[in-house]
Amino acid sequence: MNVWLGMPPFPEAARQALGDSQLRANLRAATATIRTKRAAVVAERDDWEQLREAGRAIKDRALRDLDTYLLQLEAQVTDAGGTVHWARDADEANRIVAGLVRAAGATEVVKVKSMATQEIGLNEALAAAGITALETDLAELIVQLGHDRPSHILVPAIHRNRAQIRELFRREMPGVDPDLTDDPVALASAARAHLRRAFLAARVAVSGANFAVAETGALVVVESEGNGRMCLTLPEVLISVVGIEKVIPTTADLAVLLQLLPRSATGERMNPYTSFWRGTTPGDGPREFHLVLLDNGRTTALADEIGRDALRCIRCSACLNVCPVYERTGGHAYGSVYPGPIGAILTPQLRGPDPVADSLPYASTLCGACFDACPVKIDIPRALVHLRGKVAHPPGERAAMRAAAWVMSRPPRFAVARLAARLGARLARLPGPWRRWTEARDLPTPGESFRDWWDARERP
Amino acid sequence: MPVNARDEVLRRVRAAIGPRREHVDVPRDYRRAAPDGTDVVALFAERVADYRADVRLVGWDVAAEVRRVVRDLGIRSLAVPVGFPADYLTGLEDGLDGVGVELRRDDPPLSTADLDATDAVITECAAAIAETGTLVLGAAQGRRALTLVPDRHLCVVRADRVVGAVPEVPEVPMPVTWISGPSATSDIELHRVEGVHGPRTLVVLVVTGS
Repeated sequence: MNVWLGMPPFPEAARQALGDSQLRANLRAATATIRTKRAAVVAERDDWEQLREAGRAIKDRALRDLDTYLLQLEAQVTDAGGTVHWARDADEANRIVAGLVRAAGATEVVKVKSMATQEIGLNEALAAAGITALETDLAELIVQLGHDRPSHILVPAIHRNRAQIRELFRREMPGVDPDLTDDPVALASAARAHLRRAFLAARVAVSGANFAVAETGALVVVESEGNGRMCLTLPEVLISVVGIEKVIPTTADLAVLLQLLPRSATGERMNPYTSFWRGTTPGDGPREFHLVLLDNGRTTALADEIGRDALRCIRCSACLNVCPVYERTGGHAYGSVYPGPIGAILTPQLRGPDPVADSLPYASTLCGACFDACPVKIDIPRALVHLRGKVAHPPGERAAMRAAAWVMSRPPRFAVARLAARLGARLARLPGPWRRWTEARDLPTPGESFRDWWDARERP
Repeated sequence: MPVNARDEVLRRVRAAIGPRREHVDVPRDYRRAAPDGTDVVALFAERVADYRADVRLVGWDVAAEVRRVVRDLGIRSLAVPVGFPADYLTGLEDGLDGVGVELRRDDPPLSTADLDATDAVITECAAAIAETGTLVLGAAQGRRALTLVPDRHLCVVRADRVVGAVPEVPEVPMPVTWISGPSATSDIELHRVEGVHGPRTLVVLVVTGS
């Protein structure tokens, strides 16, 4: 996985981010906007919980028989004139893509925003092979022009406001109108003019996919601007890099996920453009289609009975927008292409142990807002606690987390622990390695526990 | 030992899942259609207008409304896909109602440069989804580049093609494009603004047939 060199672990990176008041203001404004929009379109659906439950089950079913669905997808895509490649890791995927671009005789590719290609560091690998990758999504373009890093899954330039974007365009975009205003419409028009020539001249495009339907071999890309359609339609060769967890069984399943995703992502009933294609179509679109199926740590996550829930993720980023930690630190502090709550459980599993990844399961207050917002019901707090027990950290903490997981997984154990906690609370100071925590805090001592109150309350 | 990537990935997948595969039921108790009694055509018109599309309700004279749109928007050249109904284009080339427009038929296929120099495109749709205000275009509605490169897209929606909800969309031959409003972005401060790479103007002519 693409490691951001020189990134400190989360607590240190977060401290730096918290010192940037402009960043916090930008994030607060943007996440507040999207939370309001999402709440409004979700409230329109009185069957939202049923949709979420269906979404969860669809992804679980796909993962439970992943080998079968991948083979079905491969057969369908091949039958429709596409070529399917398999990549064990990032290096292998990058080599495959670079080889295909070279075989097409191209030195430049246009790209649709894709988390998978960011994860494997494709742009850097292509650059090393002498191939220029041009990002075409507006936010990705802002990030690329600013020699910056993405800070949000859906809106990678969320950390920049309109005035900052105008300055960047005036500085970095060749031939841009020097009187460009910071009106978002004007900024979008500038991006349109800047990329038009590249779209019309491009011979090779690289994309990801939001979904791959095993039953039909359809690849699906969900977008807003039309840059995706440009890349999927105009070039001669299309290469799609898709994580193996993106496969879903049927078209009926797709209908569920296409209702969950836009409402959760941009707070819209539907996003402006969704493209569905199957292999190649004579006379319409690329004459060559390559699908690169990527593992890169996904099978490691799949082997973990709790951690595998993260593979249900459809990359909507609703969990980022509701997270009190993300809203204050922004995405960069997570040191990963997958920031926020989902990043905190995905990164350690995909990337394997390192100081940044190991710090991420702690980048949370376990408040649970992410779980409530997730359209496929990933219990992120549960996975965070589970991963805290797995990543490297001081033995005392590890033992405490294991003990907590053991106690909380069975109601009778929890009941005993509650009683013990109430007795123990009278000590007011925790013993041993936990003493430092209580030195600065009072251990809360409610008169009765919630459960006791619940059991004893008068029922109507 | 498996040697190629395909075998290795499949081996890892099978090892990760393990020998016991519990059945996963998908509950389908979400709404599969718009609520009974929904006026799907009216709802579609309202929802697509929410995206700031230019929505026009047409009784029966589609060609007259097409001429009006062409005049209102100052369209001088109009791309027409193979199979588009000729009677929707009546009078356009003859200067009826003071309209003078060059029709560019996609037969033989127009080059991308031609499309870039064409003011607008007119198509039908295979289906339209009321709840989400979505146009569904399939292979029968023309090549995908036609509705992408020109800056204005006029779409004629017959009332009988409008369905209530996403699960009701009929099977449409691929490649398929769902269009919900003009090209837009939410990338600047998460505010939606219309007009990036796709058509910046979307005109939807809803044919009620009355």
